[in-house]
Order: sequence, then structure tokens, then C-alpha cells
Amino acid sequence: MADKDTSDLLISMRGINKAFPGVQALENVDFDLRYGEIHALMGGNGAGKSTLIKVLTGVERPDSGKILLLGKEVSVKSPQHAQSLGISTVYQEINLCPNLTVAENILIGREPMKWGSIHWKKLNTQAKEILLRILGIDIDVTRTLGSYSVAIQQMVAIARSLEIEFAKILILDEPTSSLSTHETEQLFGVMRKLKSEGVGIIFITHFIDQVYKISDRITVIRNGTLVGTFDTSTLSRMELITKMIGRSITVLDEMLKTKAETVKHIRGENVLQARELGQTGEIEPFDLDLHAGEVVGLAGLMGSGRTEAASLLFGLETPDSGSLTIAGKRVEKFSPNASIKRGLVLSPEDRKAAGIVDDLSVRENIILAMQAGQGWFKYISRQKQEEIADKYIHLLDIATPSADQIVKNLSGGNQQKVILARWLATNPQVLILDEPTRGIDVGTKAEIQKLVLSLAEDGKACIFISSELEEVMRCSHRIAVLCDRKKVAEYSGEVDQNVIMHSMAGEL
Amino acid sequence: MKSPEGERIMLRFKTLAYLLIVFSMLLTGCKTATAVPPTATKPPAPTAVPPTDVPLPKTGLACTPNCKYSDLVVGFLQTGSEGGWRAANTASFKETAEQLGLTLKFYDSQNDLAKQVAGFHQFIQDPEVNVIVLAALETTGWEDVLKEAQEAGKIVILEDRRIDAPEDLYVTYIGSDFAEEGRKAAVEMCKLLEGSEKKVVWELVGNVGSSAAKDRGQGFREKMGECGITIAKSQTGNWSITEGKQVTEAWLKETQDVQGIFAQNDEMGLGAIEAIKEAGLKPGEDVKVLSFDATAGAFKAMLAGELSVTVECNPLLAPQVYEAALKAANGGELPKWVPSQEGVFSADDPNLQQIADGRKY
Amino acid sequence: MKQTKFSPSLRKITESKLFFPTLTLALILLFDLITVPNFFSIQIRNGNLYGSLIDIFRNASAVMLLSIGMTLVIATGGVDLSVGAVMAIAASVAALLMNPYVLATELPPHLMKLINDPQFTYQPLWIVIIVTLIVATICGLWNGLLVAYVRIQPMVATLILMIAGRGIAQLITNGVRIQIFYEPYAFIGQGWKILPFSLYLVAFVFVIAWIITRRTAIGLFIESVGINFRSSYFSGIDEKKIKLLAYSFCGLCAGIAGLVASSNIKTSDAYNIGMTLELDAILAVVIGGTVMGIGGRFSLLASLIGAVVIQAITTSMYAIGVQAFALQAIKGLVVIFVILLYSEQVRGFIRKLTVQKEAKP
Repeated sequence: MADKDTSDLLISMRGINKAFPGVQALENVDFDLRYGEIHALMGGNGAGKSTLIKVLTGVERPDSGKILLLGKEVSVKSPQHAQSLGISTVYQEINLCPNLTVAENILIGREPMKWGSIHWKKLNTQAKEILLRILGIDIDVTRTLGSYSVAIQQMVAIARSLEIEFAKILILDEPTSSLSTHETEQLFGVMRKLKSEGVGIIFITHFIDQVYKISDRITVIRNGTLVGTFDTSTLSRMELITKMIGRSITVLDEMLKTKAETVKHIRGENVLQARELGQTGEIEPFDLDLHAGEVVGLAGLMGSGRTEAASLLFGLETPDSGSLTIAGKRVEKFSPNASIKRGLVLSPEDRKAAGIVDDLSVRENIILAMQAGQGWFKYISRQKQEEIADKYIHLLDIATPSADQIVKNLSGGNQQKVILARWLATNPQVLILDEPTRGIDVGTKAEIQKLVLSLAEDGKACIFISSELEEVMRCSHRIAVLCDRKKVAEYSGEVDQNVIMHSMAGEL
Repeated sequence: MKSPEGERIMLRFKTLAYLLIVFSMLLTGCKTATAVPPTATKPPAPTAVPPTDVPLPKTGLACTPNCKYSDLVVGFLQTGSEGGWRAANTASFKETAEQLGLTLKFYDSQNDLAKQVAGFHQFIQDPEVNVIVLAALETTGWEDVLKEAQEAGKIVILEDRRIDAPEDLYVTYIGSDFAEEGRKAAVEMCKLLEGSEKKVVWELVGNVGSSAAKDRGQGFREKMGECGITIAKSQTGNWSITEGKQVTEAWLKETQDVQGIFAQNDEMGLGAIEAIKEAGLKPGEDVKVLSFDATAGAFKAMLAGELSVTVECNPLLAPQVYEAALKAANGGELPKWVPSQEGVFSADDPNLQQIADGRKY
Repeated sequence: MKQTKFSPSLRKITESKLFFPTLTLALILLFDLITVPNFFSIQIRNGNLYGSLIDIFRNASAVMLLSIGMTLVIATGGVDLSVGAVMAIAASVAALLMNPYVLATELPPHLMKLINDPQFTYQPLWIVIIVTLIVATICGLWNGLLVAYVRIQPMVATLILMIAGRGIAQLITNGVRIQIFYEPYAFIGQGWKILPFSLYLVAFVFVIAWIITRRTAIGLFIESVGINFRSSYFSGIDEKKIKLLAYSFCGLCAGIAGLVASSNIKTSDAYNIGMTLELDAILAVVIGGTVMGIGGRFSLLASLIGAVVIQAITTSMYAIGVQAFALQAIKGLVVIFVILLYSEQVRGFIRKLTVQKEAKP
């Protein structure tokens, strides 16, 4: 690669080193971006992708190494500076104002003025033009941004950053993780358009399908070091995954075996029984049974009522119809605390907002629910806490320098494992896992799936919720399908994926 | 007559009822009304003002030149309720208004200048109010509001606190002359330190920038040279016992070479006395403490021999203020300063006990 | 992941919550050592320690008490603006319980004598203290209910009591400033047993708070609720009860601080007691490194040091003899300097310095 002509390079990062207290996040990493290419940046959680992007966008200063922009060495001082250099970033969490209109969001700070006040008409027509010109989409710009789907919001964010800074370099950090297939296609259309105009795009994602669909080249980093940069067309999926996780992937094969094994362990003992359970406006009354040693998958599109069903079962909401029986006892008091005491736990969909307590240590995060179950005064001794934490760090293979590491310094996948550890520490009988694998890398994903099955093998019952149908099918013994806030079907045994997809779409 | 035991029970009952009321207010979160001091003060009946011969209707009052007290509606802007003196001052206004049959609209500025200015505007716009009495929180910056008041035809009388404004913007100032109080204090301090070899005095200043603090300090300095007093240390105690004590305490750690303390109000003086006692000195003997306002607490300290002198600043100004207001309403001319009655009380006074018992505030 | 090379010991020290408050305090004291003679001299008077250093700690005791409660409240992600007003309420309740006769307008002579009898109290001292502390705790409970159950923003919820509280305090004592003559009561704020009694009180409350938060799960839950109340709720923590507990405890601390403050000046001064101390308490907690508005990790000891830092600044100013009018400005400058130490930028800079120093052999 070194002998390549560098004249077509937008960015060239050479020998980047960056250390954080206790961790060498990047070690001698090189990275290039050409004109008009979509370059996927791949790596497991904690591999150093985010740090590399932070160095490029001026959030962090590298300890050593240089960045060449159009062949000239630059030192990126801050995100603002990066923008002025033509490097724009659109993050997974959109940092625009959802309560302003689309037009205001695009032109905020440079509104056209007329007689000392904003010229609204001009503002709206300008914004509309920008969206059409850059993205080729035509929407009502006078509606608030929040009223549009996440995909549109993301595109508005892209439009804003490209329009303002005339960016030549666009970084998309996990842009598709909350988009539907259709929305993803829409976004890809925009990406292709920008590419044809010579914009270089760095694309970070966990979806391997998407990488193959859109990217030209792939750079893989692992544990802070560069594995290599490859042309997408010459790298097979298996090779890519092997490079990312550093070992050949046999886990998935093992899993299928495990699943077959666990079927034998379903004891038939009914641990959860929902009858006509529902809450007006949230989810229509549904029946659900769960047996010890069983994994039941909840399949459905986003907004189909999966999360609402889970909330009802866990007692976050109080149902206004039906009954819920757990371990033979009818539930009267609906609250998370009561559920935990009954042995039913929920790992929530939104890891950041409702899962981890980011300033607490790994140890404290792990024992939190267990301690909550024991009350204020039966304090788990420090020594006991450490034992429990070490046990689960070991068991779930959580990558952390120590149990006292602050949990926010961990990668997403490891944070997810910490949350699982928190629930496992309470020794639950029923686990509801809402999107436990979202936004985490393939290796960890497989580990978590495997863990679910081995839990079932131990006689625990699980409800497994995921947007990825394949994953649900792989892990579950039985699948309940939801559509438009209603349970529409239930399947067990070998099912054709197409059948489930049809019922998810409400066609059965 | 009830037995003491019965009385005790009654009182306990009252206290309980009292607390209950307070709690219920606390629970409903309602704002409390301004508290009125319990002392039943009967101010001297003001002398009747004969109508003046030269009718010079400066104000737009309908009754001029034959206004009676009942024609007056007085808007009174009090500074706040920071202590005993202020409470007595407020009570004087309320009670005298009742006796004379005039209408008093009381406004508590809660020691907040912004509130006070807002209250002033409120009174200017209130068509009923014809007299505005101001106990100003700040000495400067009043020109514009005073002009507004003049244009609206309101009689403005300054009470207790003097301000820096052209004299034609208000009718008169009634209150103590703080500079004169300061001078009196210096003379008293000279007497106290007579025969003392060294005459080192420490000064506890009130709120920095207030006219009382400025003028008392200045007056004291004018006269202190006459007997060789020097002010070695000076710091603000913000009129409060706590800070008066803290400041004196810190100084005493450094040196105990001090003969007198010049505290610009009684509270700071009482604080200084506490600090002196803790340092192992005898207030009243080793260190003479002089303060202002002659509050009840000061009398108690004087009776105990700890405070040497307090210079009075009479809070019962209402009769004089109302009299001046009526005179102005009827077109009379008033001097720009009507001094209030003041006195000096000393711990040496053999009749101190009687004076203390006879005082209304 | 590889470990970078550094010595863990020094980093551990600089990353400790105690490091910056202690460093600040050390800098202030160093400054005093250079500029103020005798600042560090401690003598023994009547078997008790006596000196400027002791003064700093003793005068800080009210803010120290407040800062203990405030730390827990701020750690839950809230703030309590009402503690100053609760101090005033506590002082008023205590004064009234000891001597309700002060409020009576007319008294038979045998009761009149009791008013300034240093041995008389209407209720025994222990009842006075317990009732006062119950009242203060109820004030805190009220704040907690508003914040946790009614879901009013903490700043707004506690603002209600901050404003109304002082009114309630004045209402309790009927607007009168009650002097407290009962001698045993004065021991709370003025008593000495080698060290000032109030410091033992602070130590006692600190130990209780430490046990409650670090020997039970409550401390972990408070931090967890402050960092992410949704995650905490999902984990089965009753975040409402945790908040209720924090605010109630804060009220209790304010009550104890009210006892200390009123006993120190032997007066229930509803207007001045605890005035603006809520701000000092918040500042103390912030200096102690607990982040205002975000909450989370807290250190009670660091907050205590923060309280001492604030008092050390004030006492140093007095000792150096800063001009009264410059006092506030200089205090402000010092606080800015202290707060600068807390900005991540400045801290990163200091850390870099320490790491570089370590790197040298």
C-alpha cells in the first residue's frame, strides 16, 4: 500500500498512537481515505474505531503520529477546527434540535434575514432546495425534526453538515443501527450520490451485510492495532469476521448444537403465564407461556409492541386487563423491584439510558440489582462484592482492567455483558432480554447468544427480543410474533423464515 | 388569678396550637403575612398642625389646603425586617396610622433594591396614594423615580435613610443624622477612654455603602482626633451578630492591644462582646464597646456591664413623618431635614434600669 | 489492551476527591503562614485550645453540618436551597420552646423575672433539641416529597421553602428576635472541651452520615440514582425513597446547624440566621468535588474540607485586614481560583505535570 500514489488521498493518517490512563487505545495505526470512496472501518467493541475517529475529528489529540489532509500535514485542534477543514461527522445520536423545524435545523446560525428578523419564507425554500440538491429528498421542512423518522433526521444532519462546511470528508458513525431496511436503502442512496460527487465517506457499522453492499474498501482494527486495509471485493465474509475477532468462528456452529441439546432440558414446568394481559394504547391483550429451560423469541418490527410487552411483564407499567402469574403466584404489585424479588428481570433495550450506571464501577454495576433486592441495610460486604464481580467478569469474559474500572470506559459489548451479569447475580428464574446484542460486534454477539442458550440449559427461562430475525430464530425454541402492538402468531419447532416474516408484516 | 401550673399548661397548649398553625401553613406552602411585633406601642399624639397662611398647592391633592389626616393615603416602603429597630419603626408607622385615621399601605422591600424600586413604581401608579414614605436601601440612583413621583403629584418623604438626590425632588428627610451620631459616639468614646494610656479603637462597619455605615464612620473620624483615638482596624460585620463576632475574634488572635470597639450597630457590638469574653478579656473593663441603636439587647448588655454606651437612633419616627406629610399636603414649607429625637445611653447611668423598663422597643 | 507506564500511587492521590480541596486549603493556609503573624499559634486557655485555626474550624461548623446533608442531596442530582431558611426555623422553634414568655405582651412579675434567667427553660433541653430536629426533618421531608413524588425540579421545589421558610421562622417568634439566656443551650455553639463542642457535633454527624452511606447500601443507591435514575429504577432501586431520605437528612443537618448558629450568638434571629448559607453549603460540596446538577460520586469528607476552605478564606481576609469594601471581590477571586482547579482542562494540565515528573528517574 505504501507504494501507492498518494495524490488521490483525501486523508492519510500515519502511525497514530493514543493512550488513555491504563489503556493503549491506538498503537501505530495507519488509515487512508480516497476521493469518492466509501471506506468501512471495522473492528470489535473496544478495538479503537471510536478513538481513531476522535483523533481525526479533533476530540482527542494523538500522542504521536501525523495526519495529512490533501497531502499537507495538519493538526486537528477541535471538532470545530475539523469541520472548518472539511471533516464532518454524523453520530449515531443525532445532535440536532428535535423541537425545531427541519428548515431551522439546517440553517440555524445563518438564517436569511429581512429587516432585522428572520425571513421565514426564504428560510424554508432555501432548506428545501438544500435537501433536494444534496440528498435528493423532498419533505415538508416546516415540520419539526422530531416528527420525522430517525433516518430522515440522520439525513438532515448530513445535509446540515455538508451544506455548512462544504465537507469533502463525511464520517458516519453507526448511522444505520436504528434504521429500517427501507430507510437504510434511502441512506445508501444518499451515500452513493455523495460518493459520485467526490466526497470520501468513512462508514462505521456492525452490519456486515451493509458493508458488502456499499463499501469500496474495509479497514479492520483490533485491540488498538491495525489488522489491514482490504478491497471489499476481494475479502470474503468469513475472512473479515476472522480478522475482526482474531480467531476462526466456530462458536456459531457450537451454538446450534447447544440449542439442540437444550430442547431436551425443557422441563415443562410453567414459570410465567400471561392471560389476556394488556394495556390500552400500548399493547393489546395477549397470552404467553414460558417454561423452565425454554427460550421464547419475540419477533416483530420496531414499534410492533415487543418492548411494551416486555415492560408489562417486568412491571414497569401496570396492565389494565388480564392477569400475570409467575412461578404459580398471581402478580398483584407491578414494579421492577417486586419483579426482581419474584425472580423476573429485564435487560432493557436502551443500554445507555436504562441499563448501565455509567459513573459507577463494574463491580458496583454488577451487584446493583442484587443489593436492591436485599434492601438498604443488608449491605453486601466489599469482599463479597469483589467475589461476585470477579466471578461474572470471568464467566462472561468481560474485558476490563479491573472490577473497579468505571463502566463508561468499557466498550458497548462489555457494558452489555456487565448488565447481563447484574441480572444473573440476582439468580433470576426468568430473564427478559430486550435487544441484548444491539450495536455490539459479531464475536460478543455470538457469545451472548450462546450464553442465553446455556442459561436455558441450566433451567432458566428466557424471553429474547431482537430486531434481527435470524438471531431470534437461532436462539429461540419458540417464537411469538408481534405486529402493530398485537401478538399475531406463535411458532415452535422448525419454521421457515419467510413464514415469520409474513406474519411480522401482518399478512397472515 | 390562675395558678402558675394552669398558666403553664395554657401556654404549652398555645405553643402547640401555634406550631400546628405553622405546620399547616408549611404543608400548604402558602406565603406568610408580614409579622407585626407584639409590643403595644402608644406613640405620643402628634401636635396639631395649623394650616399655613400661604397656600402653595405644589401637589395635586384635592383637599389642599384643608387636608386632614383622614385624607392621606400613605405608601410606606420599608427596607425589610432585619432587626428590632426596624420592627419598632414599622410598628410605629402602623400604629400611628391607626390612631390618626389615615390609610397606610405598607410595602416590605425585603432588603431587595429591585423590589423596593418596583414598590415605588406601584405606589406612583396607585391613584389612591398621595404620600410616599421611603426608607431607602441605597443612597444613590433615585433621581428618575423621584422625578416620576413628582410628575404624578405624590409627596415624597424620606425616612431614616438619607439619599443622594437633588433636594427639590423630595419634601423632606426625617431621621437621624448619622454623621452627628458618629460625632456623638466619638465624644463618648473619648470619655470612656479618658485616662487610658493608649487609645486604640477597632471599627465594625455595617453594610458597606449604606449611608448609616458611611456617615457614622465619617462622623466618628471627624471627632476622634480630639482626644487622640486611632482606628487600628476596620472591617464590615454586615450588621450581624455572627459576623461582628467572627471579625473581632480574628483580630483578637492577632493582637489584644485594643481599648475600644466602635460597632456601628448593637448587634455587631454584641457579637464583639462575645468574642472579647472568649478571648479572656472583660468587655466594659479591658475593652470598652460602643454601639448604636439602643435596642433591648443593648440595654441588657449594658445592665450586665458589658456594653459601655449605645447611641440611640429613634425608630418611632411615624408621628413626625405623618405631621410633615400633612403639612406638605396643605402646601406648607418644610426644612429639608427634620432631625429625629436622639439620645446617648451609658452603662454608668444610675437610672439605667428604669430607662430600660420604660422603653418601648 | 496494554498498561501505560506510570506510578499508580501519585495518580491515585491526584485522582482522589480529597486531593483538590486539601490542596486548596493548604494553599490558603500557606498564604496565611507567610502574611499573618501568629496565625498558627495555638494556646491553651482554661484547658481549651485557642487560636485562629480553631476559629476557622469552629466558625465553619454550621456550613460543615449543612454540607454533609447537601452532599447527599446533590449526589442524587438535586439541590436544596432551603437549608438556610430551615436553620432559621430551627432556631426559632428552639428559642420558643425554651422561653415562650418572651412573646407575651404582659406578664405577671414572677414570670417576667424568668425571661432573662440563665437557668430557666420552659421545656427541658433534650425536648427542645428533639422537637427542633423533628421540625427540621419535616422541612426536609417536605422538600423530598415535592422533588421525588410531585416531581418538581429540585431548585424550584426547595426555592418554595427557601422563600417561605424565613417567613415561617419569623411567624413562629412573632417577628421578634428572641434572646436566649438559658446557659446550657449556649454550650452547643459556644461550649469547649479542649476543642469547641460544635466540632464534636460535626464529627458525630459526619460519622453517622458515613455509616449510613458507606456501611449500608444507601450510599451506593444515592450515587446510582444521581448518575442514572432510570437505570436505578430498572435495577429495582426505589429512587423516590432514596431522594426522600436524602432531603430529610439534609433538613435534619440544617436543623442541627440552626441549633449551633443560634446558640453561638445566643439569639434566635429569624432574619439573619443561615442567611445565604445555603450558597456556602453548595459551594462547599462543589469544592468537595461532587458535581452540581449531575450528582453521582460523592465524598462527605471532601465536602467538609470544602466548608473549611470557605471559612478559611473569610477568616484569612479578616486577619490580613482586607478593606471592607474589597472583601466580597477578593473572596470572589479566591473562589474563582478554587473552581478553576475543578475544570477538567486545568486538572488535565496538573495531571500531565505530575505524570511527567514521575517519568523522570
